[in-house]
Amino acid sequence: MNEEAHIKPTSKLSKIWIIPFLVIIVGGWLIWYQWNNQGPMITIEMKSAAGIDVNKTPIKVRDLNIGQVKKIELKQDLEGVIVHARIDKGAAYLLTDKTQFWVVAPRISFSEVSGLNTLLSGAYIAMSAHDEGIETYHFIAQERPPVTPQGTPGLHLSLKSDDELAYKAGDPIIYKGFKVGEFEDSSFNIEERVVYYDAFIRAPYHKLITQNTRFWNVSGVKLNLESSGVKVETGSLETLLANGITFGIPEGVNSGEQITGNAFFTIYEDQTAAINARFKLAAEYLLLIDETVRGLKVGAPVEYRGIEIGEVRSINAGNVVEGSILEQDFPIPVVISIYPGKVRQDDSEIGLNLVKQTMQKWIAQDLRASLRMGNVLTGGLFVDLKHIKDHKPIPLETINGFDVIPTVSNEFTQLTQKADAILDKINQLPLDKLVGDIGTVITDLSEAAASVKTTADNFDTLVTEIDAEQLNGNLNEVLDDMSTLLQNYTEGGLSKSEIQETMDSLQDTLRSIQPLILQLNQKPNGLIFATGNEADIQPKAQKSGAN
Amino acid sequence: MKARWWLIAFVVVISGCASQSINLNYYLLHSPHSDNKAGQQPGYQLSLQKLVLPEYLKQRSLVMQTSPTTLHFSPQHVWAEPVQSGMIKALEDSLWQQHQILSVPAGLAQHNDALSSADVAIVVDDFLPTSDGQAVLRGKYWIMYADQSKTMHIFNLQRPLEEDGFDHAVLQMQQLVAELSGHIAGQLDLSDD
Repeated sequence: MNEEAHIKPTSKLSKIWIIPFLVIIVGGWLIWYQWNNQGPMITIEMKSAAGIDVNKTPIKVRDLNIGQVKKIELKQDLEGVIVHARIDKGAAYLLTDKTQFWVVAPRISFSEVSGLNTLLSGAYIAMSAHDEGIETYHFIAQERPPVTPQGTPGLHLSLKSDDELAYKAGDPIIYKGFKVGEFEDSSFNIEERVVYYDAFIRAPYHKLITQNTRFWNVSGVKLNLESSGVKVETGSLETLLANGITFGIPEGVNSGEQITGNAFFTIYEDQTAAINARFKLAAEYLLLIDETVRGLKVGAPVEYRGIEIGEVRSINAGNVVEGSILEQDFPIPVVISIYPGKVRQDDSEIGLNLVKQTMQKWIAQDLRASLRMGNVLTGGLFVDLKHIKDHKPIPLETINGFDVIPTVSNEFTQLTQKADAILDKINQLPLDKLVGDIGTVITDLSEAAASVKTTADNFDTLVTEIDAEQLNGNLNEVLDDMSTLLQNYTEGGLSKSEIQETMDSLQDTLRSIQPLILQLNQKPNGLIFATGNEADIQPKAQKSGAN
Repeated sequence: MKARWWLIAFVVVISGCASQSINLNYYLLHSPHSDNKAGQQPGYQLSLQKLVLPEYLKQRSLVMQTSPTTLHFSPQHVWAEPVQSGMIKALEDSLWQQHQILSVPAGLAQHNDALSSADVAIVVDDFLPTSDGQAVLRGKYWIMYADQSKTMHIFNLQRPLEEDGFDHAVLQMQQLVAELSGHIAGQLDLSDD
């Protein structure tokens, strides 16, 4: 047996190497594919990294994940963090200089409640979808979500206010109860000392903004105790809790052309101020008030025959009249404005001159000003202009360029002065002495009452001791005796007529006796010795022939 | 015996003092036989407020004029009642019987629309038989109506004495009272009846 080994040369490369080779190829392809399809790495500067986790916190556009936070590091100046995030390649085109990033986390405030869905899922970084602009990979995150998303149809406005900072981003702009826009940003101009606000009015409400539109504050509840009464102003529930403004066009004013571009508007204190702002020209006059101006406020109405024609511009302004309130008989200067527009004149120089001429003529005649109480509850005063009949004309006086309207005391002031005089007299009364005297009198009365009570008790005791039964018996006996006496008098007594008859009879008897007495005077024995031969004289018949 | 003579002398003296009693005659001015006409409806109501008589009639003796200046009071002929009451009765009887005028006591007159009424006051100056054979009744009276109007009237009534004696004179005096009632009735405003 011839077994001979056949020696064959081995291959240079084992076939088994195909597997690693394929693995390398597939792996490389995968790496290349991954590298080739990954998005750009961006950096976002933030104030803090609250709620952000590496390899966990997503980056979303309209709630769609387009990236993920890969790294977080502190800034070199330690004033923030830099978040590195990988953005999907398909969304890389959204990374422009107009792209905004902000952290979406639970946010609860008076004006909004948002981000509640992140309570369970965790915070995420939101990105605005905006494909215009220059490509960039470094961004600065917004502190809060943008009020108005980019591209929202509407109108951007610039508002200014002389008041303190009152509105913050997100505060509403209300029109007839509808929220039509929001404040976006605020800034303070140091030189002008005015707060500027950026605001946005959503479409289609932006059509309401015209040239003559006025904005005014409706924050919270505004309670005005004015001379015209109690006035309550409020906007919506949202403005009741937070701040807000509203707008409108003053009555009687045309709306003007619609605003299409950026425009500046002023935020007025209230609606009245906004409405009055439509009058640009005013004639100013000076009142020298000798009385108290308590209750008179700047902005108080000036009325003529009950029609408001102006307002109080200043009270006791230092640059109007020389002197001070410390001087005796110093009249308090009050400057008032009379608007031509409120007396149905053009709000122009022509109307202003007409108002001034008329006022000069009236002042020279009999126009006088007085402070009158517009509201008894608040004590608010207003300036009343009226013609005083039978008043001596006073030459027009001008002080520091202001024409002076003479003043007269009003009836209420006179009444108040009288009341004050009465109160002064009452205060001068010796009330302490009177009170002391009254106390003494009361003490004496108490003692007297005690004495009366003692007397009454003694009297009660005395009455108790009296034998009432016996007393009644005696009284009954007396009454019986009186009754018997009266009965006897009635039966046997003489009545008035009987007495008269008796007297007549007595008089008749006396008359009959009178001749006898005369006879006895002539013949005293005639009573015993009658003559007996007296003739019986009787009337004789008329003789015949006689009449 | 001496005592008997004293008794006889006393009786004689007493007998000398004795005189014949005088028979008195009483007269009435009104007539008790007059008809009071019960049931007659009065046409007028008159209230005699006052009757004033002369002083010489305020006694019971009948009086007569014996000369223009003297009067005689008869001791034997007397009025049975005071002249004033008798004259009132006679006047009232005459007013009622002859003129349907009801006389009511003063103070009881009631003025009403159904019956006209008036008040009367009479002052008699003389009421006596005179020496020239006349019975005289003169004086004046006032009538006061409900409307407070007053009228005064003077009367002077005389009737001749056709017979002697007080009997006839009293009869004539009764007639004079009747004439006075007629005089008063004639003056009353009876138009309202």
